[in-house]
Amino acid sequence: MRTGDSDAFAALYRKYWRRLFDAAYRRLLLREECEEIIQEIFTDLWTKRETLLISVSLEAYLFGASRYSIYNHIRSRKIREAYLEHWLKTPGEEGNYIEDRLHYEELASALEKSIENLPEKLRKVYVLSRKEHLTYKEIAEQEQIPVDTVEKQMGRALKILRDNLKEFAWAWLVLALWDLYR
Amino acid sequence: MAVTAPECYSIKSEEAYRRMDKDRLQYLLEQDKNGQNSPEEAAELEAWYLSAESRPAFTESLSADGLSALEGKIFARIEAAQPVPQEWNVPSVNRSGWFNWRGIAAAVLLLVVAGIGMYMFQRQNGRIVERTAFGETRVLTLPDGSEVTLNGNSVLSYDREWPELREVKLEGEGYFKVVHTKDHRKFRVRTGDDFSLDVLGTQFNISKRESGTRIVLDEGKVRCNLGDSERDTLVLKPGEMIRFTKKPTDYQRERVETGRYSAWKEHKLVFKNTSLREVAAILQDTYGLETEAGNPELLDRQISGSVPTDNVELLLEGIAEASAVTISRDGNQIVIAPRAE
Repeated sequence: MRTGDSDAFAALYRKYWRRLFDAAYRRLLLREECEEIIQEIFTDLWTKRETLLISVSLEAYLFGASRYSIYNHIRSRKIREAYLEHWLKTPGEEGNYIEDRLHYEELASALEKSIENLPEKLRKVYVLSRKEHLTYKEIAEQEQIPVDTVEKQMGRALKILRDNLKEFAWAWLVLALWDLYR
Repeated sequence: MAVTAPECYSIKSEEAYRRMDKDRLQYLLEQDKNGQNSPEEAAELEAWYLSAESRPAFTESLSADGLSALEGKIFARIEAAQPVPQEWNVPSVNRSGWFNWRGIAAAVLLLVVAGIGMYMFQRQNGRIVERTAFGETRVLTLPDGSEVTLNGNSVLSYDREWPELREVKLEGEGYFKVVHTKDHRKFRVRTGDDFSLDVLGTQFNISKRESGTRIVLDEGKVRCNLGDSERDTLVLKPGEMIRFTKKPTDYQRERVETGRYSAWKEHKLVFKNTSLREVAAILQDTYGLETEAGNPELLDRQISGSVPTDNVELLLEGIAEASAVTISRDGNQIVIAPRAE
């Protein structure tokens, strides 16, 4: 990890993000804030990767950082009027679960639909890369096409998806990180 | 802090913690932040935090797709929030090259195009066609002021009136000095229906022979269009060579010493561990000379060094010298034989 290897970083993210998100959601009950916290923890981890000395286990460090961040978020709710209103609603918690869940499911289904509509060649490359986590090189070997072509096709698939998902203001962000799954 | 967690708090139901009054929670958090909390207050906050563990895990309610959408979304935020490592960047393959192109000021772009043609052009009205004979080199000036030195046995053609795009067709081999236009018009060299390259500010070498096509980039940037130019493009970096035999998409990329590929323009050929077989191909393509070897193994002999090309006799003499063979010429036919002891 301290070598600054981005693959290791992505693997680390994949390993912990879910438990950290659940931990944050249990206390905050607001997906926006939870996303923000996970983002902060990992951004911080990446920035400090060269210098960070963790005396406890990495896991303990991550959950500790997460708790610290959760506390900060709750404190700042007090001063932020926008959140105050939300805070007052919190007792009816169950509603949030459903609403927040829907948010991700809608994104996922819009994405799925767009993927299905991709031209066959592009769809294949996209699925192999994003869902089966194959590297470009592996895809090139499997499909018997040059690596450069895989890159091109992937770029083109993402462009199409982005265009189709314009109504999701942040969808481009999701698509922007295709590279990390190489 | 948890050490002091007293029993009196455990009397409270979990539900009571979960529904802790928000003002109380804020108070506890403030105390914690300022380090003024009593052990009891610390324990109360800890208990609140732990009590939440019994709540359902949000992500378990998501479908697999929903889960992966969330995973992707947060990672994107991480990526967007920091100076990302280079390899995470999405290469904007189709645009970045032209962006740089625009940034190049008043550029005189040198581009060496070397290649041997294998089919003749379709002549069209309004099209200018320049040809060179075997062994001839000629300097041409294009309508935009760009200069092309054609090597032997080569054909260059282009429309008398260029539209937006400055496009020339090349069969064979040439050395281009491409001038930059004020309105940043693209300059494209096409060697076939399935292959062309766009000048992005650069010096490079392209060679199309019967045995294959070869592009060598000296410096700057070129974009190669393999077939469907919208989709299959590739950008070369300095010192790189790509070559392919038939299908452009089946190219190989490697690093080379670029100089020897454009040396012909200085009226010499530079060889480095080049087999006589390859030399024979050059003689065939550029000078129209058919090679015959008394002993086929002779063609595996490798030569290094440079030989002059001004004069075919001298060229052959140089090759013979470098490879310790005798070369005799009869018209377009040359015969390579082992040197007598």
